[in-house]
Amino acid sequence: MSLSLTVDDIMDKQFLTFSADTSIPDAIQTLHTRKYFGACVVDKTGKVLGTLSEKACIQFYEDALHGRLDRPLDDIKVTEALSPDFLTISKSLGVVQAAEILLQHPIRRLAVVESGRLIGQITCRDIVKAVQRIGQI
Amino acid sequence: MPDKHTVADFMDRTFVQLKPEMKLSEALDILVKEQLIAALVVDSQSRPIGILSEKDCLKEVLHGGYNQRPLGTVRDYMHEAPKAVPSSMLTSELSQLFLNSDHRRFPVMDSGRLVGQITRRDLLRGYTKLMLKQDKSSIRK
Repeated sequence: MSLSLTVDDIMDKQFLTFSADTSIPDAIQTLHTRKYFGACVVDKTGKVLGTLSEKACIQFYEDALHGRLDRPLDDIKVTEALSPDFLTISKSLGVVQAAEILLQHPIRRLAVVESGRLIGQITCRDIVKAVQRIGQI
Repeated sequence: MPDKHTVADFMDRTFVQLKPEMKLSEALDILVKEQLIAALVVDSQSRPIGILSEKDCLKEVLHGGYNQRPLGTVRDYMHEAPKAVPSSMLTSELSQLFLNSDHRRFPVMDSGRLVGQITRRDLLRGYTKLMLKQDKSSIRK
């Protein structure tokens, strides 16, 4: 298998992010509307804070529906529902290495950062599509 | 609020099903085309026998190559499906199943018959609709 492709060659540069002050219901609506399975949360400087956790969101909805929240769900921000499983990589990393990281962890998305800022992301699908397209990575 | 909502209210009844004898490359094309992370694998008796995910495919294309040698069938790469849930299960119970496991989807079976599937996304979509219905101000300021 070729080892020539880097993350930079196939990463998604037109990706969805949430600002830190996005509410959980707004984020969930956006994910559904735009047909995304997840997205990174970034601060005002573009620094990535993490990815939104579906599990944490389910817990907040459950609590809201059963009156267990001390404030409206609309007041709860995405920064309170970040996934503990979150990894960043550099764009120069080989795609094979990125794939191995994805296979070793319970995640399907890696954030690509440069000088602390989020510049892209790569998912299992991006890699699978690249393999389909060119037959190797 | 008493929880009277069940899996039947939120589940997906028209979902993509893969066959175990299908070629992996064919299944992969379906996952990509349908924008799915994974899909249930169903045998000829409509029993859910596994799940094929993008990661299962990634593992194979990474370690086996895509055009270096023929890829096998879905059966060779799928992983075990979680135990099915009944459509009458309360969504609060289903939430606990999602929260206490890493499963993203459950087959839904009634009287031994596959009637649907439900994913974390279906649950969140259902909850969002429910809350909009209950109190629009709680979702949109």
